[in-house]
Amino acid sequence: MKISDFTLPSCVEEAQACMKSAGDSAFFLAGGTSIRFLKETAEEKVAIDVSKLPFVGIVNEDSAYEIGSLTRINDLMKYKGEGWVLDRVAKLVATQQIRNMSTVGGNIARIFYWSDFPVALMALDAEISIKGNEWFTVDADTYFDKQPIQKLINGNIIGFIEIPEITKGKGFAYHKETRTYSAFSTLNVAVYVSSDDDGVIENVRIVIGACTPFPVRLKNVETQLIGKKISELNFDKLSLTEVEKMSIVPKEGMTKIYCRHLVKTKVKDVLLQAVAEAKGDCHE
Amino acid sequence: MNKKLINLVVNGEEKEFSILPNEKLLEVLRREGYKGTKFGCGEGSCGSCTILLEGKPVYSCTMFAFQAAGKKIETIEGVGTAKNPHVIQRALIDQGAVQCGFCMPGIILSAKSMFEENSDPDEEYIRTHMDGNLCRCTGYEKILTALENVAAVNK
Repeated sequence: MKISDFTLPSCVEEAQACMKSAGDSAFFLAGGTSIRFLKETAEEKVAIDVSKLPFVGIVNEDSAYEIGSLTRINDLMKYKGEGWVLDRVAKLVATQQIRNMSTVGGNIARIFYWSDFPVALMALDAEISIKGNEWFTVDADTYFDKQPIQKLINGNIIGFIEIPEITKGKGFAYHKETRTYSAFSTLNVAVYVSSDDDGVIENVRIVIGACTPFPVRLKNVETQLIGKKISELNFDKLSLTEVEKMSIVPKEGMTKIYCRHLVKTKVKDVLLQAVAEAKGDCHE
Repeated sequence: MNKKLINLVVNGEEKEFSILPNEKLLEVLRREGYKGTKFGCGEGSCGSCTILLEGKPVYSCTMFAFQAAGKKIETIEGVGTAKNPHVIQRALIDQGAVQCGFCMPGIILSAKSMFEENSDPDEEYIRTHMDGNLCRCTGYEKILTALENVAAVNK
């Protein structure tokens, strides 16, 4: 793809009108850091730079965080708030310069296997608000079930992402496996746990990515944990046979056998961290 | 492909540049004489093309020039002079932290933005903030020491 022209709309309606009039020959550009990973073709497109649209910032309301899609990754890293956990993911993304350029919306508009936020946001059961002709909301499982860019057609644009606060009784942990510092992921694991006042697990979401084309939930593992008392969990008894049946696409020269072993090991590690936080052992 | 005009504020001076839509900011800056901004990897890994955009370090090789339209840019040409080096440049020289020097414009600009954000960073803060700048000569220790010396002076 080559950029043949650009526009710098100052409001959502203007950006959508540009997209509707240009059709397939235009695309929305936010941070622009992933452009170089798209297939090189002679196809020419008009870039609609959406960075001036008002989808910026983080708001804490009703035990949830609403994040503007054009919020830079570095701002997610530096934000401080009760039960805010995306800083744990943001600090693992690439380098300072990339974190200053990339936006959270750009990170989830098109999934690359190494993308960090799709895995984390799916574990957090995020809700993604999209502006089409009207606003509509998509849950994370639906949003990430295939390439999200397919939902972003006809001028549809991601506006906001909502995630829960991780407060008492809840836990979240994220792990990114790379070969070297700031390299692309070979495995991402995210776990969200919530428990009731008696310490019984009400909800758990375990998501892996990078070694799979799209983020995948380990639903059988989740089922084994729901209804169990956090204080009585025995991870040695946890069955991870689901991982054996999964479609794995290893990266960086890893074998499938090693990759499955890595998934099983890291899922348990990350579960332990999330459960420890839900128990109050290391609540940040 | 038609050229378009954009305005940039480079090192405090408002300027108009004629750019092609697919031109990277690095290409435009170098063509316009800001040769201190280096072309290293060209893919957003090495940091030698680092500039400050609205005070924050970004890779100019990965960014289209139009994305900077109307914004403030700082290049190494705006930081100190040979006769009157910036405090960061002085510290790097004093520590013997410069060998081939190719990475230095990017390192100095990243460090400058760091000290503007936090005048007294600890080692972890420095390492995190400088993680996007590679140096293939020094092994980083002297650079780190030089920046810690700047922090110590700031205390």
